[in-house]
Amino acid sequence: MATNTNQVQLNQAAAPEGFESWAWKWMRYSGLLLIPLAWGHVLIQDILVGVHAIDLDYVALRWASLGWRVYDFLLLAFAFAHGVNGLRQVLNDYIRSDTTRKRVTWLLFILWLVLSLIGAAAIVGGVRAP
Amino acid sequence: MGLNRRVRFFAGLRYRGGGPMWAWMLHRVTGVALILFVGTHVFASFFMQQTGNDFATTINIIYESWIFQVIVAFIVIFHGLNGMRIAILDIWPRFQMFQREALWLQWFIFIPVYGLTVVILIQHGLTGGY
Repeated sequence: MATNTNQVQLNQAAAPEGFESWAWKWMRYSGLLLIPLAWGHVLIQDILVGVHAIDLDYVALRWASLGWRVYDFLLLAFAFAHGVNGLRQVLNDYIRSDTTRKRVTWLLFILWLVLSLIGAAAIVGGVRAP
Repeated sequence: MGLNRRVRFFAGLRYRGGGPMWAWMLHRVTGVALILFVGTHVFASFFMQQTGNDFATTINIIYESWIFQVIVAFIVIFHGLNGMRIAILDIWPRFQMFQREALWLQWFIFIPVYGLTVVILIQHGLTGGY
């Protein structure tokens, strides 16, 4: 059942360096970083504090400290760069035409930009609703 | 570009890849679900904070229901743990010889962590309303 160690190493081929190679590595490293960031966010907001205790005052209080703004900004940046690239990799498995693939990549790029900018505007701008 | 071979959906499901195949499939499905959830979450939070928009408030009420929380917790914990397994095995390929054991270990960690999370979320749901 278990494969021989030497065999595993023999079967490794050198991957060509390029965008897809970097995207593949990015998913592994950003994913490992997202585990403390995303799990920390869910643990604090959903489990320790509880969603019913969260209102605009709570968010304003949390964002009064720069540390939490930086935390949320990192979570936002890594989550969407990981998530939208992941969606691209999944969709590329089912799209057969190169033209469609290019169009979908552009659409996803715009989606990533809009989501990141909206999130960044909220974190930088702070709570504004009455 | 790509393999010129069409495998129908149900023919694909008959492929007997076992546990690792189902983990791969669940990783894709939870990944796509996450980008949809997190994207909606950032949009709704932004409009609720900046404009006090009613539609955004409705989305946030759905988010706060305990059923939705239990589903999101499954997706976040599974995708994180499974992604950690993939990243560790890909970064250090010599652990590939323990890949079956890694999958068992993953479920061994998942069950108590998710179980405890569900208990806490239902407790919040019972005390918080909705």
